[in-house]
Amino acid sequence: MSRAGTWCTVALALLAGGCQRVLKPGDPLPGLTRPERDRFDRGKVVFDSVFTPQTGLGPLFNSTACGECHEDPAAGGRGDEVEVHATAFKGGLCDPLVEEGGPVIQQHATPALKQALGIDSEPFPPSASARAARTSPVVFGRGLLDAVPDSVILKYADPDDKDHDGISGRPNRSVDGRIGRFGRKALVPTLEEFNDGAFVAEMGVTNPAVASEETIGGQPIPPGVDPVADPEIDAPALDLANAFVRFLAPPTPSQLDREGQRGRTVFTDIGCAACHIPLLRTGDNPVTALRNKEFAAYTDLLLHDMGPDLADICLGLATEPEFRTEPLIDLRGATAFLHDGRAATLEQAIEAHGGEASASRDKFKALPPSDRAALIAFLKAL
Amino acid sequence: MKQPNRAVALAALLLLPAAAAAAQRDVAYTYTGTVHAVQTTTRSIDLIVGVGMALRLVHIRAAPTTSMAGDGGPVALGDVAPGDVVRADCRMTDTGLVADRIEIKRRGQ
Repeated sequence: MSRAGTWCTVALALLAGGCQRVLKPGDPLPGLTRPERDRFDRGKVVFDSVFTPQTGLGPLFNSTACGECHEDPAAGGRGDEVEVHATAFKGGLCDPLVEEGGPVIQQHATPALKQALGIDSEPFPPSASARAARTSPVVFGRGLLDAVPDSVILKYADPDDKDHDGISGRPNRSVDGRIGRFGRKALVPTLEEFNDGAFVAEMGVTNPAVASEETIGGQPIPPGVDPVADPEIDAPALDLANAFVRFLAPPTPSQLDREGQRGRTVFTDIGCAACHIPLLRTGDNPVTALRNKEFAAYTDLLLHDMGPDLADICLGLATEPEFRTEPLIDLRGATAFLHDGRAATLEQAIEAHGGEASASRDKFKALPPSDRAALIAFLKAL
Repeated sequence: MKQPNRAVALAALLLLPAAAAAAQRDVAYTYTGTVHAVQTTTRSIDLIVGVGMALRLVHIRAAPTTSMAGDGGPVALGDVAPGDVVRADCRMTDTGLVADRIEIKRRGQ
């Protein structure tokens, strides 16, 4: 056989064998077209751009760049920043306290705002009934989560626990009534909207989708404090940042050894997989790399009652103890767990589960040490 | 022929700002959001709208001619409750947003 023939045979064998590249944190989805890959690369530049007051930062902000909070171990990863959120639950309804500055309480102020009002951060809303701490999660694989059809989410919902398994997930709804999926309480229906809103709520950078700044605890921005004309970034830059996040791949889980394989079985046996659905499938999508893809999501994107010990704020339809099932993506590098980072280990995180997860938690606690270790080994491979 | 042309030009100059202002007033806005508050005395509602976590409050007045719908038929403003999701087709006037139509899309909890 000629050399060319040999290479053809090897290439065909690799294709036939479904040879797949191991995806590292920060890698793009496999199968992007050249223009999509170009947008991913250029979007990363926007994602890592550091804003200043002269380029639109503030006047209130939590961070100066997307990549400042989503940085570890690569752009799109986790951060050590912890945010403050607040809402009020009254009369059976959740008030996001828009009249007092909204649910995100920005922790920093530009020098001009500090000079004008003498504040270092947004005032905490006086009407708040609860306060929440929020860590910065990885955003790997969020494009795939965005591409999961609503029908899939609804398929797992069982708000009245009709199957009597003790699990009663339900979807949250955005302020305009659509099914939510992003954010720790699943308020936001699409990835693009989450990002567009985050530019303003997290950095004070107005954009074509959100053309007005956050208020200062409900009060207008003092004159002269925010001299940059709105929108502070244009549509092409916003689109690129969205493309970068959308095209970030979920890192490939590590190969499981025998203990990890045992842990995967334990994960299902004790009921974790009832909410942390291991595999989700995307639907039709204009991006081939996102179309009809099965991926390791470990979430149902639904709200579940996690018990009084974890309860913090309400948001949309989510009551204080309800949280969206956290996708278990890139756990291997995590050093803080749960929505507020209160758990330093996976064991602590599991043991903090309450409410609908109480039965699984209790089964975990009752496991022999070898099975507990196996479950942790499995999770650390994700 | 010169005189009529001048008159037309003058009229156009005089009418242009008014026409522009009217066009500005007639700009249509559609908001879909969660009802935050209903004031039946002033016939107005406050809607929570927004993108992602950047939420905003919009104040909308209902005129006597505003069409109100929901629950499969016509409704009154007093039937709208906080927590309901409504769609409001509005126009900007000198005194703020006025709704031409308000429709309850989803009842709150």
